[in-house]
Amino acid sequence: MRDVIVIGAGGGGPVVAKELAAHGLDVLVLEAGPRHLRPEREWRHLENDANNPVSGYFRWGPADRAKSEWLRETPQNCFVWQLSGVGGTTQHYYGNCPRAVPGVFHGYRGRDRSRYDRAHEFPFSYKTLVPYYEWVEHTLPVQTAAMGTKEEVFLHGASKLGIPVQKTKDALHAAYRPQENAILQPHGTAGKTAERNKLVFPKARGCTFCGYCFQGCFEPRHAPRNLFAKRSTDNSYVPMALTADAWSKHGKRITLIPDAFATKIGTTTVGGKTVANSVTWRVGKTGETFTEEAKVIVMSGGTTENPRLWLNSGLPNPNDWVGRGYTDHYFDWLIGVMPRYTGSSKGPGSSARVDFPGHGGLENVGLPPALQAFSATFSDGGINDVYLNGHPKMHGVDGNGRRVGNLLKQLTHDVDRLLNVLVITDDDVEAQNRVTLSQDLPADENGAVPKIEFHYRQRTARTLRNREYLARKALALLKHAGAKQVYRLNWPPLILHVQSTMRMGASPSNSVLDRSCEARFVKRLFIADNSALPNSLGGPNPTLTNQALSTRTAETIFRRYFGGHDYVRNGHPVQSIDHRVTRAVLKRKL
Amino acid sequence: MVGSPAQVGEQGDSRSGLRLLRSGISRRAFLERAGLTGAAAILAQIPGFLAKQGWLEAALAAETDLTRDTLNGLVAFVVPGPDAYSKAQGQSSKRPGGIQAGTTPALIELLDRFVGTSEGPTLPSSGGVATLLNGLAVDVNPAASSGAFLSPFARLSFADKIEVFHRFEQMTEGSELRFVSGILIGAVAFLAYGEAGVFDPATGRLKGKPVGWTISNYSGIAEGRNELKGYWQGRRSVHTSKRYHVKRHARHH
Repeated sequence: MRDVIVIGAGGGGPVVAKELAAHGLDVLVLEAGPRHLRPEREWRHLENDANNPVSGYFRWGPADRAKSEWLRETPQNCFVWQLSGVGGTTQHYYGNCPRAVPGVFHGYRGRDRSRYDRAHEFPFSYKTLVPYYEWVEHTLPVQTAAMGTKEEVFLHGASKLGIPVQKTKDALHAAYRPQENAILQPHGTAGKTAERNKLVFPKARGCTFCGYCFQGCFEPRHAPRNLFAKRSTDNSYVPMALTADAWSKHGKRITLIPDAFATKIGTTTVGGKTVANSVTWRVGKTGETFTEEAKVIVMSGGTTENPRLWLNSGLPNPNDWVGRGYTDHYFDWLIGVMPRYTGSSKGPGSSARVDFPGHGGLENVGLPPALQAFSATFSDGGINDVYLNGHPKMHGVDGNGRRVGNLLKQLTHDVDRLLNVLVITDDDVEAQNRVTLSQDLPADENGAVPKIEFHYRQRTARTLRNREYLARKALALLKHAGAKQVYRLNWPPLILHVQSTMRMGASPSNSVLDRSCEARFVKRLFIADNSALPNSLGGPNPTLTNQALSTRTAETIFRRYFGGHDYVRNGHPVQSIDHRVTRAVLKRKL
Repeated sequence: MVGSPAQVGEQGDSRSGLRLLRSGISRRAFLERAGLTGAAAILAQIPGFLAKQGWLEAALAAETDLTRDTLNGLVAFVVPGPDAYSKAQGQSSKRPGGIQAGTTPALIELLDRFVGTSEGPTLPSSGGVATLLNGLAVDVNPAASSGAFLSPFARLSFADKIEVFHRFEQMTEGSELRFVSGILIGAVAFLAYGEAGVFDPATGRLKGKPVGWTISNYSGIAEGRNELKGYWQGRRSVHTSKRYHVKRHARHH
């Protein structure tokens, strides 16, 4: 019997695994997708090869790219952008690590407290989470982003909005700032040259400004895996978990099994209570199934797959909140056509942001051409202003909805003269937005498939109001930055920031998890990923808060079930770039 | 993919699939028997939709040349170039467009990649999409039923093509095909501006410069860029605010 089985090696699972492995627990991590052990050979800086949702190396599908991707039913205009594989969706994330807004936590007393989704707040205070934020920020590490041209242009526009620069980690009021990113700051030749032979580790260290966060980070070339610039979990927490015996006095390295799709969580009854005690998984390559028992089980399969696994396992759902309350930041997208070079296709995906607590935020996003073209043609707002699908025209922009034909070609004629702004809405938890099991599509080899429903045209008034508020701010920012034209895309749900389908909460009537992230209805079963978040954080990107909460969950597991003690508040974590980790990574060829 | 002997030869299976659907078997059971997975299962909803419009028989009888012709009309609509399809719609460009980028075969491959075989495909997904566009094209402009090209959609003006998508989005609202009507143009744009048309999967290398890179003035791939401008206001780090500072007693982990 294992101490702990973690299901999923994405943004949250490896955090729990690393923390518990550091304390000597026997941890098994199962990952449904591939493990890209040699990214320099397996990945390329090519968009279709990487990001094609059907056949790309970054997709929601099995390790074997010749096999079909995994199915989800999405009965609306939308796109779900989630990855399988060790590292999960952090493999293509931008490393943005803002903390949640304090207003979404219990006990918040600010004058703007009524602006937030008070019915679904965190069941503890912001200050409670701060030590866990600091722990993760040190471990990854999270650092203030270096600026490229596009960030300078964005922040110049933001500085004219009449709001100050934010100079702390905490979003206390409306302010603009460089991102706090899980990307190593550039040193040596990094960021200073495009010459390949000069961009080899250790001449180059940290971010080389290549512009391919979304295609996976393996820069600088020949760096040890834990020193690749972007701190996706495959570059940070997973190497640490696999080398825990090398950097922690009592550490025990984890066992990691990729290509292992968990299909059932087994339970027993103890003292009249349902208790999780085993996991069954299917090996993609062979079709074999295995079952192992564990003292504690942690679900980290993601915001769509956790409800699926729960329901396919027949686990109890007495309040019917499993899968409900899906939040996605109801993104929108504005593109500014700039009079001069912005370098939009270069550098980290996003290194600058503006926060408007109570409404959400904005961030700049740079893209290479195929994703830029997709972003300009993904819309719920019609084509070329000819029709708008019922959405009102936004005053002050030069176009609403998709750009198609020569308008698309004109817009994208120089990808490095664009400035994109992503609208990140502080959206409400709504029961109607949810994951269930599809009744119409057939089960795949891993069981009944999930159905994701977003009633995006019937979002709450607050959500819609916030989105419009932010779109107006984005327009103003782009104009201040000098945009000659601005286009608003009115995106349908781009389900990329995903949260809260297995939400923790104070009330047993609308939450799946208690305040420690243990399942209310199944003991010894915890959830550690974005699905455990109680709300959409007020707009900030979710990974850091997921990781802070997962750290807290690991500490709870250690204390509650393994006789351990709390260690975060007064402890000091080892960094993922620590030389002991590096030495072990090199020695073990990880 | 479409046009391969295996698929063209499976017309009979397609018809048996249609008979199964009409026999009252549930869509889920049908999809299970058809062995469809991934996007193919989503796109397999198209035949039922076509049947409701009375377009299914036409779809099953369609030749692969018609599919290619239709999707050329779609690719030219999204990213026009100097080709006949772009000129026919009244919106062309001297600079290369989606057709020159090799988008049409990439789109067909994306749509048809995982068509199942256990009961035979219901209909190649690319053919289903093409039939939808052609059916809507004749609705929008009945004169498109004859003329140059095999495809009525390819015969439409640019404005009429927009109207096709207007109706496509409206008529699929509330149905599971809303995903397809929403994503189709974006998928074409992504493929047209990416490297799909010149990528050699055998070597992992490009056979030429992608058209999308030329028309977007993209500098091409590199391991890094000379783009570092420094730190905003020279600040390289920030910390927790005083309001939320938590006292700690240092103890090494």
